[in-house]
Amino acid sequence: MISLRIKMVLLTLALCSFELLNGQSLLPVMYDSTLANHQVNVVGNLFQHSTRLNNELSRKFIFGGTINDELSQKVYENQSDYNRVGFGGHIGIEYRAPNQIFKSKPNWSWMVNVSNEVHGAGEYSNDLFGLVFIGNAPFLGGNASFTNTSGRFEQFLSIGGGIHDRKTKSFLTLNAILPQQFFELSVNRGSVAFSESGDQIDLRFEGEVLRANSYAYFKGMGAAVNFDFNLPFGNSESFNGVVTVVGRNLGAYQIHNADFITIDTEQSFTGFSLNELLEEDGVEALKDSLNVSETNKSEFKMLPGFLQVGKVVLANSPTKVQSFFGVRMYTNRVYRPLIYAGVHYQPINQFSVGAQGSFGGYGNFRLGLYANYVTKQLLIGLGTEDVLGAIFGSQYGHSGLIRLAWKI
Amino acid sequence: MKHKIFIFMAVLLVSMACRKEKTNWTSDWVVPIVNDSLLIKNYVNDSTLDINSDQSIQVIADRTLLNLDLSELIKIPDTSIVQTFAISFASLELSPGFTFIDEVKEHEFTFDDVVLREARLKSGKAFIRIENPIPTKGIFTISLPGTEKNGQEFSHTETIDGGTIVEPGVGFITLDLSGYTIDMKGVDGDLYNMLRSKMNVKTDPNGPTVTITDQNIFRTNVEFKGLVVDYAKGYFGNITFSDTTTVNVDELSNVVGGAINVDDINLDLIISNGIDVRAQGNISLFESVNYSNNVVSLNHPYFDQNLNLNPATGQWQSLTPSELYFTFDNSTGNLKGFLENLGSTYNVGYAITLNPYGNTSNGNDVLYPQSDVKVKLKANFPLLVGADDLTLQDTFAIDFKNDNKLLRVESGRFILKSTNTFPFGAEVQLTLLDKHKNTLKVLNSNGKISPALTNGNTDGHIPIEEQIEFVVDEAVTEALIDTKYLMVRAQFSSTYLNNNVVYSNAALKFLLSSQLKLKASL
Repeated sequence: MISLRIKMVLLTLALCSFELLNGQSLLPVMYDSTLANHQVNVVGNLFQHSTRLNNELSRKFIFGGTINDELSQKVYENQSDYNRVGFGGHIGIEYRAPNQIFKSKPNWSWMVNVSNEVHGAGEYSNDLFGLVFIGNAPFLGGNASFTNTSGRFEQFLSIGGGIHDRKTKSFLTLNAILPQQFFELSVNRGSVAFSESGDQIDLRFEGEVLRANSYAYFKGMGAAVNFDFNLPFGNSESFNGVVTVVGRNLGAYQIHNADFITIDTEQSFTGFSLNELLEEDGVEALKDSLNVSETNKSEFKMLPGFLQVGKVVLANSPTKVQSFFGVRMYTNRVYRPLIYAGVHYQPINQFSVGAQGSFGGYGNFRLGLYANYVTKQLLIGLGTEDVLGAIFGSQYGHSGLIRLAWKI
Repeated sequence: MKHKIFIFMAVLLVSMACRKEKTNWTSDWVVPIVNDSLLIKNYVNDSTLDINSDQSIQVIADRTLLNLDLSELIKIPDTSIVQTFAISFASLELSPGFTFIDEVKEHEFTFDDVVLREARLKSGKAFIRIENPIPTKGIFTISLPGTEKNGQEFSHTETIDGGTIVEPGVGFITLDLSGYTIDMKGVDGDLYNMLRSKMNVKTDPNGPTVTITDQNIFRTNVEFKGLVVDYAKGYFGNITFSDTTTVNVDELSNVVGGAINVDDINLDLIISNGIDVRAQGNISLFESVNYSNNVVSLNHPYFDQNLNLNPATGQWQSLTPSELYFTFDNSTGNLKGFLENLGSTYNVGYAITLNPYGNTSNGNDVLYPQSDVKVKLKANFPLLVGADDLTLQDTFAIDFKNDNKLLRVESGRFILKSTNTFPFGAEVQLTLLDKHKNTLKVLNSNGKISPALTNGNTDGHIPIEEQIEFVVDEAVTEALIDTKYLMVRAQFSSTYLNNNVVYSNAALKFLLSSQLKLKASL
């Protein structure tokens, strides 16, 4: 069992799948005010977080495998009326140039970045979980509700450039957004009732689906800004430090010519009649009665961006122990404001570790760990925002973070 | 430096090295598939079945085996007639509003062997071309004496622009003749197949005075097209309709085996003559062809004989066809064997001749709108049937979509719940077929639907509720992937071999549902 847990930790920290590399970069940044020259940064992140989906189940989706009936039942019993889940991934590379571009701003230079991002978020009821993973057996003689279910999944490329301050490390880039996948489901009202013997099904469904369907490689186009603003506060006599305002993917894009499907139906089904089976269009007639409407339309969608404000740690601090804390918010309705706070320990200049606690987001409490190794030209940072999730199957999330920086 | 680049790249490659296997889970679903009832009462009011006072079912069938197309009997060919008119003087000065009238002219329709004295048109049109050769507008009135509708003679007036002898003014008119009755006896009433017409020309009352000569010819060209008669009087000729017609009984086309026993049968084969004309009927063949191409020809002492058919009596709404009966019962010919052959195809050979002895009606044959000549089958007997492994088989196109990579059936069972009050039971078998209709897998049930027993009052059968199941195992789920057709085979047997009375409460209510374990793979 112990070896399995170690394996899980290593697997998570090593981000051993390409899919796992997609995500937001949230590893605590060490603020370094020394002047930078050429610098290449690679950042990768994966997270999955939920209020009620435990890791024993979610690892079956991350690493594959069979979800047995016992596990499905156990997780189903743990669901509440309202549950949230989110996942995301990011891999990005950026280059920061050392060249001065404004006479009056000697520290300002240019930078370019490209990244690939995937993000999904959803909210669902315990009944919907039961229908999907157990079937209708628990609901015979009863009703399953999935009103207010929603889900969204998207994947897009971001390519852009901007300016950065070589000393404060603040930057601002403008990026073109090229969506490659998009799917959104929204159920305003939904329920299904089954008779005791399963010979009657009563369905009430009012919802819509928006799905990118263009044959083009890119399904639309948009724009977003990324930025870091590092703002020193306090003085040497009082509590001081640097507050960083982080913005990523703050923008929107348009999905071109997407499939828009609406369903508004109230049906009672007790089986086909013989005539319906014998007539060529008998079964089709039942489908028609579901009142499915399919059209195409182009629609603007907010990007799954986020804003984070928090105190960061200083790379060249005279103290070995520093605090960091802040708040993070995604631009979607499923995500709850996430607050975090942690302690950073730097026993020697080349190496530092830290721990943090966070609450909110797509789930509840998580405990994070990270470690940084720095040389004159190289920085390697590994971390997780959910160390307990990496170990215990009873937890509700996974997180893996990596940052590689090469100073030339 | 190279060392550091290597470390940098190594971390990236390790990060991308792993790949994920599929995530699988199963869920259990109970879903109704087919839910229906076969009630004998539903067939009572459609002139097929009736209920006797003891609640037993009586077969009362009245079916038309063939209905002759009489439109070919009196068919007016498309006809074109030209009527011209010129003055009989060398020249004449016409003041405005001057009127001159042509004489009534007769036009003959050409028929082979039909003599019509009177006819009513169900449909048809006249396309008229009028030429005006004088240099002022002409007001043309076309009328058809003897052609009336609701007591009004057919007449149409059209103004045609003026012209010259070389280039006359031309007008085109299309007239609907539907519903007009034509007296075809000619001006003096002693002819036949005649249509009369008359033309009236008036010069423009507001036009100039013009001079015409006998070279100015007023010409009218009338084309009759698509004239269909629904009433006719005359002599319809000596004509014979003969053919061998095939009647398919779809309800029996699914029988593939077994036998039935029928008793106490009464059937009448009838030739019906709805025309007021003498005729002769001849039935030369009535044979049954079953699923194994076994042919049984029905015998009757009157078959293959020319039998006289009287003219229909009455007229218009009181028209009553005359009928020639061929009656069959258990003592006549081989009716029992004929019916027990369970033919799904029946061939009827017939010949019906009108006016076999010539114009004996003196031109008074009458065809009314509702006239028809038919061969009918009438039945009236109690439903007493025994079934001995009577096997019905049918094939439905179906796609279980079990090759779906996201969701597929892993195992389960199909459950058939039934409530039966027929004196017939059945053993049901399902066969999965591929796109070429080759057998992939046969699903046998774990039981059968039993025939019902008569209740104590002998006015109905006691309902039997049963449940049979078809197991869907791994082999079946594999076969479902390629299944494109489902063949259902039901083998029926009755409570008794003979004389099973079917009562009015006879019904088979059934619900086919599935209890399936679905496997999802992501």
